This record gives sequence, structure tokens and C-alpha cells, in this order.
Amino acid sequence: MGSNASIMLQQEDLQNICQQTGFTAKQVQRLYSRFKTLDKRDCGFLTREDLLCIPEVNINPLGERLIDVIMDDYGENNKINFKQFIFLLAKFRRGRVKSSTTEFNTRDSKLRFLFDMYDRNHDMKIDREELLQVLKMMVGGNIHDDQIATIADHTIGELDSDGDKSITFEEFCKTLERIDADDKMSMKFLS
Amino acid sequence: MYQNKHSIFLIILLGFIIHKYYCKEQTYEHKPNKPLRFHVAEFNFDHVSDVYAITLWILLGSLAKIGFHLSHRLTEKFPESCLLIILGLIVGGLLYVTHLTEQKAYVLNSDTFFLFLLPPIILEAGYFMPNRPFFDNLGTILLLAIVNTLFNTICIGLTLWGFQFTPLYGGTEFEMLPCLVFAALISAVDPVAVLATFSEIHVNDMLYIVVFGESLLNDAVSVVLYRMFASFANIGQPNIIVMDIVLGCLSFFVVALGGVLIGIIFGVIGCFTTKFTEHTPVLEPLIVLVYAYLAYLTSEMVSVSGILAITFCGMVMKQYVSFNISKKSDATTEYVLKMLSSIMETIIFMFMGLSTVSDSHSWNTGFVFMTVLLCLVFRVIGIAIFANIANCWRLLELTRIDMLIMSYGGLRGAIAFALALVLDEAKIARKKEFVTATIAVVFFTVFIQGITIGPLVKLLNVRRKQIEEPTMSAKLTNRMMDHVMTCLEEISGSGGSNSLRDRVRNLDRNYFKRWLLREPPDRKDIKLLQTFKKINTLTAMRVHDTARGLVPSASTATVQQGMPEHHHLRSHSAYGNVSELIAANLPENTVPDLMSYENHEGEHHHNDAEMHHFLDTNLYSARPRAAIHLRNQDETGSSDDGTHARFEKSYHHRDQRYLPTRLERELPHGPKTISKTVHNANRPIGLKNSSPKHTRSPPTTHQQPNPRSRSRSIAAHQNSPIPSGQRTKSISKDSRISPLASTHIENEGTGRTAVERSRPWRHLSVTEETGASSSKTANIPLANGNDPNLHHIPLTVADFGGTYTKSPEYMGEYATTTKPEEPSSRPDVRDIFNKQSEDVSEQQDDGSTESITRL
Repeated sequence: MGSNASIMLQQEDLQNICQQTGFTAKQVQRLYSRFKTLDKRDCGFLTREDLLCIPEVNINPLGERLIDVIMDDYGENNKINFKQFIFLLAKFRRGRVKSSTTEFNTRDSKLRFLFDMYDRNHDMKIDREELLQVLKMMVGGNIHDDQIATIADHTIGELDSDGDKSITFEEFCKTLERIDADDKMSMKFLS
Repeated sequence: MYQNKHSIFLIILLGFIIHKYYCKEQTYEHKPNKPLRFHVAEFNFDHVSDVYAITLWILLGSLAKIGFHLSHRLTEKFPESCLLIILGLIVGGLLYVTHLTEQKAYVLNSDTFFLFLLPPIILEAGYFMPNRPFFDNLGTILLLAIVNTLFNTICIGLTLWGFQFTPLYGGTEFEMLPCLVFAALISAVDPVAVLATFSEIHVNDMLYIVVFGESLLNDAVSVVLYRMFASFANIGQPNIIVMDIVLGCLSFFVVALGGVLIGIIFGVIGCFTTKFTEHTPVLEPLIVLVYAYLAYLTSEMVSVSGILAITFCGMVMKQYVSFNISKKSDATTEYVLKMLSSIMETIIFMFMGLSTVSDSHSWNTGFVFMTVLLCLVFRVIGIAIFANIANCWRLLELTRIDMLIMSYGGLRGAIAFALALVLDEAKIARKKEFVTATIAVVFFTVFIQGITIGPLVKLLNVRRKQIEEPTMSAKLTNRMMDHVMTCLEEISGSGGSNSLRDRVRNLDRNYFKRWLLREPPDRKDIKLLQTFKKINTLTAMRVHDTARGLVPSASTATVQQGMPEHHHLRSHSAYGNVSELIAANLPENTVPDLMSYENHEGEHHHNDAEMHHFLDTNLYSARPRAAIHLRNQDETGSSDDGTHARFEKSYHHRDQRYLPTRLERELPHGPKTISKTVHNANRPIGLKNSSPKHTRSPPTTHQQPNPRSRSRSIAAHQNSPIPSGQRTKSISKDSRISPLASTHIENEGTGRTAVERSRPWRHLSVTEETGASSSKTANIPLANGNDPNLHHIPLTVADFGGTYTKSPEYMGEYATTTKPEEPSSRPDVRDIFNKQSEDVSEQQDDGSTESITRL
């Protein structure tokens, strides 16, 4: 499989990937070369450190959290191979027309990814602690903890409809209906 | 509606009468045999005529607008701009009939238009520009604004010129260059018309910004083309060399980039200025307006695009100024901008209708028809071509329907008209035809397209703009999406708009914010916090606007939970003294106050009037605490925490020096209030406790006068609070505590109870700040929630803490009534008090002497 970086991408693998993800062959090739650039030690998988080497990711407040998600949910043992890598990115491919939407890049899967950014214990609920963590990452600075807690409480109060002081995926989706999550969570892959 | 119409006509009539009279006056002046005499009052319309006319115009415009909006049916069917033009036409007709058109002030003059009417509209547009959609769609906007306008100009100009060889124009000849000049002015989409129309149809942000952005940014192109062709026409077609054309193209970059640069420079200077306006906040809105106007004038002076300059000036200022200036100034700036632009827009449309009625027309059916047709056709073609090109890189593609609306929304307006008016008739022989055709196109687009675009948008089911309130969750998730996408773009190596935005944002945070803001942000995501504040303010405003007795909307519940905490947290930050803290916190404080006021109104309903009366008479002496007494008696046990909160708060806010005198006066007052209201067996305790205190307390002789006389003096005092020097000072120190505010403060306590009950720890922050906490006596005030008198007593003991000694018996007595819940969570105010009063015991004595002697 593509996990072996030293070998060029096999033709059938390529086709397989294209079919499953909806990427064009050129896009896959391009992503593959990107993957190899990131994979400095040339061992066929990316580690946490590899991703953190990208300066923009490094300084991004949510960079580490994103890498957590990538490594835990998409890779295994803190490694991510090319196939996992491309399936991850396939989520954010923009479906030009309806037919090009695959099982990966539905709105639901994109929202699920966002949800997973919060929900690190996979109990399908964002509880106060999880929200606090994310808020702290984003706001940072010398804001007092209590203030962040206030914001967190407020946010939960906005979303929580069943009063369990946590946000389920359904609640999460419902309030995001007004946001063009589909557009915002898509990117243009160079071909 | 009808009444307003009447008033409008009345105004017009008034204008006429004044004017007629003025004309008569002039004729009288020439009568020689009138002896000179002193006049008590002189009629001197000449002196004010111009300004008077302008003011009347503004009044007429405002009244017209008010009148139109009184009828929903009218404004639903017709855009306001149409109605205004019609009104203008009517007035113009009247003026024409009465031959007043010769008066300069009554017709649209392009200097007036470009120097006064246009800048406020554009500044408003720039200041309220939705930055995110604007920059997201910048590529498309630039493509349309530059290339599409160029394409339109050349195509329309050449086709119009080409048709002169057919018999369509009835033999009238049009030269090529004048045709191009005309095309340059007619092909530019007009921001004023677009704003006026699109603000009523509420299409989605993307569509709006693409059309509106185009109309703003194409100014550079149309200015350059217009000027270039006009000067070519001056030079004369045979004399043009290639160099002229090259220079013309170069001048585009100068005009466009020069305008943007001037705008940004003035914007930055403006922001920098507001860094130092801390002590002159009244001038802040003016700074914004003046710098923006200066940017416009400067760029007009050096003949670069003023519209671009003022747009970018507004955009830059908005980014930083609102952080620097006070909340009031911010609101004022926004409001003034809205007001100015709205009235200018009204006047522009009215003037357009007005100026239509004049002699300088030359109707050429063929030419007018062709112009209208070509404008439409090339607009559609241009959009079709360039939108498809833009789709190559756009993430969110423009659909066919989008394109249709974009081409249909390409309205022409007053800018074209004003430009047509300044054409030089000596050089361009067909000026009259051009003016007429321009008016025809403007009327066609504003009337036909303007009226039909609304139904069309509905018919085609174009995605509308979601009128949404900011929600914390949406903002948070939006930010998260941005971050995630930025990271993923970097990881996948396909650097897109997200990573670019991120870089710009970092640059902004690291450099611009640092230079331009008073307090450089040390937080990563200031927007997130801003949103939170905004939500709170909005909720507060809504509650404030709701009539008393209405239940606030559901979302307030969460805020009610959030706000007080927010307030407490503020107190953590480094405010030097109490009054500063109060000043900083109060505007937000009113939020929970009002809310709790609404919520708890029922409980205290019967108590309300009494309380108000009480507050009125005792405001100077014992504002918050007196209220506590009174309130306390009616409160049920559930609000004990609230009582405590008020209790603490009232001390917190109070200037310590004045405590003794005030409290002393309050002492006999306590039982009095109690007796007013219903209460129980605790009363004797209260009385019993207060009387031994007097006997036992022997501090200074003058402080212990005849009890009876003192109580009498207090009673007198109750009716007329004496504003002693010290006391007034204390009032001014926390100047925001007006009678109303004091009600808020004590109401806030009740509002907070729910929160505190659930999170008692939060309350600590306030008291911690005063630096005193005691576990020993902590729960006394708390325990007395049901018992007003008991509650009252510890206070009085504390009041005399500086001079009286606390007796252990009392403590013991309290201890028996104390419920042992929440043992050490609440520091006792009494300790704070004791400390304070010890500090100022000397002043205390003086103060009390003073008050007593005066009483």
C-alpha cells in the first residue's frame, strides 16, 4: 500500500484511492509528494513531530489539538500513513457537484470532524471541561479562568437543549445550520 | 402617511412663500423715497438663503423618508429610491413651473454631489463593510470591477458609436471619443443605487458583497477611463499618440493604488490619534469623520480615486478605532455615519428627480433606447464571462442564478448623472443627449430593475441573508473552522485563502494592533471575547427596551447566568481604586440588574413604591443598605445569598470615610423601617439589641447626645437629606450611581442569587479584593436571610466597631441562630468594616460631629 514511501504510488492503489475519495489522480500525486516532503525521515508515516514542524501549524492555537485528532482518529500509534492521510484530507475536498460527493466529504462528516475537535473522550458529548480546554487554547493569554468558564457556560447554555449541561452531536449540528459549514470546511486541492 | 404628505407640502409651500417674499423684498429695496428708519426686526432672507435652502432640503428629505415608511404597503412594493425620485420629480416640476430652478441651491451641482453628498455614503459603506466576505471574494470583486468595467465601457462605447452609421439615431452624429466618455460614465455600477436597492432585498452576504464591492472598486476604473477619454476628446482624435494611451493605462494604477494608499494612511493616522483621546472622548467620533473626509478630499485634490480612499480609510479605522474609543463614542460614530449617509442618499435621489426637470435635454429615442439596451446586454454578457472565469478559482462557485442577480443588480445611479452634468459642452457637442440618455438609464435601472429585483430574488429563491444574532457557539465554531482549515491547508500543502488570512491576522496582531491600540491585545483571540461582550450588550439592550413586566426572551437566562461572573472577573484586573472599578464595571452591571428587575418584579411588587420612596428620601445617607433592610423583610429564605451579595456590594462600593456618620444615622432608622412592614417575632430582638448598644457605647461625648433628640433629627433628616461636603463627594466619586443606578445595585443582588446558589465560590472574588476575610463570623449575615433584624444588628455592631467594643455575648447570640451551611466561604463584611473604620476613626469622629451638629 501507499504506506511504503520509498515505492512510488502503485497504479491500482492510485485508482483505488481516486475512486474512494473522489480525488483526481493528479491531486493524489500532488498530495503524495507533499506527504513525502513532510515525511523527512522517509519512513512512510508521519508522526506528531513531523506535523508540528510546519510553522503555521506550530503556532496555530489549535494546531496541537488538531494533530491529536488526526493521530488518534485517523492514524494509529501516533503515526499516520499515506492512505490514512489522504482519507483525512478527502473529508475536506469540495464536492463540485452532488455526484462528486463521496461518503467522506459530506457535511455531516465535516461537522463530525469539528465535533471531534472538542470531544476528545469520544462519549459523543461535549462537556464543560472539553469546551473549556478548547477555549483556553483559542483565547489563551492572561484571561482569567473564570472568565473562560463564563464563556463556556454561556456557550453550553446556548446549545444545550435537553439540559444535561453538555452538547450532543445533534445539538451541535442544529445551531450550526446557519453557518455554511460545508463551504467553510472545504478547500481547493491543487491538481 | 397622509398627515406626513401634508406636512411635506406645507414645508414646500413655506419655502415658496419665503422665497416669494424675498423676491418682493428685493423690489422694494429699489424704492428711493422710503426714509431710513430703525427697524425693530428685519427680514433678511438673503443672509441665510443658501443655507436655508439646504436645510429645507434636508428637512424635506427626512420628512419624505419618514412619510414613506409610515406606509408598509408602499415601501414593500417600491424601493425607497424610486419614491424619492418621484418626489424629486414633483418638486422639480413645481420649481420649474415657478421658475425657481434658476436658483443655484435647488439643482444638483456636481461639486455639491462629489464634495458633500457622496463621501458620507461611501464612508458608511466602508466603515460597515463586512470584512470577511469582502476579502474572501476580493478576487472576484477585482475582476469584475476592473476587467468587467473596462469591457463594458469599450463595448458600449464602440457599439454606440457604431450605430451612428445606421439610421437609428435619426441622422444625429456621434463621434467616437465622446461615445467612449459616455460609455465610461454609464457602464460603472453605482454604489449608491446598489446600496439603496440591495439593503432592501436582503440577499446573502456573498452576492451582496460581490455586487457592492464591484460598484465601489470600479470607481478607479471609471474615473480613469472617464478622465482619459475626456482629455483625449480635448486633445482631439487625430492628435492622440500611443504614449497617451500607455500613460492612460499607467494612470489607472496610480489612481487605484494611490486612492487605496491615501485611504490607508489617513486611516492609520486616525487610529493613532484615537490612541490619545482618552481624556477627550467627546471628540472621538469627530476624529473618525474628519480623517475620512480628509482622505477623500486629499485624494480628490491629487486626482486619485476618492471613493477608494474613503472606503479603505473607513475599513482601516473600523478595525482599530473601535478598540480605542469609548463605547459611547463608538455608538455615536456608527450612528452619525448611518444618519449622514441615509440623509445624503435621500437627498441624492431627490435631487436626481429634481434635476431631471430642466431645459437641458435633448431626447433622441434611438440613442436612449440603444444605451439602455446595450447597458443591459453587455452587463449580462460581462457577468457571464467574468463570473465563469472567477469560478475557476472560487471555492463557492457562482451559480447561474447568482450571475443573473449580479447582472440584474448592476444599477446605474447618481454618480453617472453627476459626471454627465460636468461634461464640457464645448468639447463634447452631444452633452444634452448624453445627459438625457444617462437619466434614462438611471431611471430605467432604478425603477424597473429596482422594483423587480425584489420579486425576482424571491422567485428565484436566492439564498437570503440570514439575519442572525451573534451566538457564542457559532462564533466559536467559526473560529475553530478557520483554525482547522488553516492547519489542514498547510498540512496538505495547498496554501489557500485560509492560510493567507491567518498570516495577515498574525501580522495584524503582532504589528498593527501593537502600534495602533491603546492597550495592545495580549490575548490570542480578542474577537471571541468581543463577541461575548456584544452578546451581553445586546441582551442587555433588549431587556432594557422591553417594557416592564414583559418576560425577557429565553436567551437572557444564559446571560443572566453569565454576566455577574463576568463582572466579578473584571474586578480582578488591575483597577487602581474602587471608583475606577465601579466606573469600569457599571455599564455592564446594569445588565443583570435590569434583568433581575424584570424577573423578580413579581416578588417585590407591593414593595416597589415603598422602596422607591425610601430610596428617594434616603439616597444620600444610606442608599444600598437601607434598601437591604427594606427588601430583606419581604424576602423569603431562598434569597439569603442575594441579601448577602447586596450587603457586600454596598460596602464594596462605598467610600469608607462616610460610613460612620451614615450608619449612625441609620441606626434608629432601622427599627423604624421594620415597623413599617410585616414581620415576626424577631422584632423585639432587634430592638433589644439596638438599645443596649447605646447605653454601652461611650466613645466621645459629642457622639452620644440625647437619644430622643437624635432620633428626631434623624426623622428630619429622612425627609431632607443634607448633602454635606463629604457626602456629595462620595456621590460624585462613584458618579454613575444615580438614584436609578442604586436601585439597580440593590436589585442586582437578588438577580444574582440563582447563580450564587449554584456557584458560591464565585462570589469570593469581590470580597477578596477588599482584603478581609474571616471564617469566624463568616456566616452571620448569611444566616439571617430570614431575619431582617438579625441581619441588621451585626451591621450596627460593625458600624461602631471603631469606637464600640464588640461584646462576646452578642456573638454568642448570633451563633445560636447561625445555620452552619457554607462555613468559610464568605468573608465577613464586618471585619472589613472594622478595619476600615479603625483606619479612619479620627475622621469618623469629625464627620459624625459635623453631621450631628448640623442636624
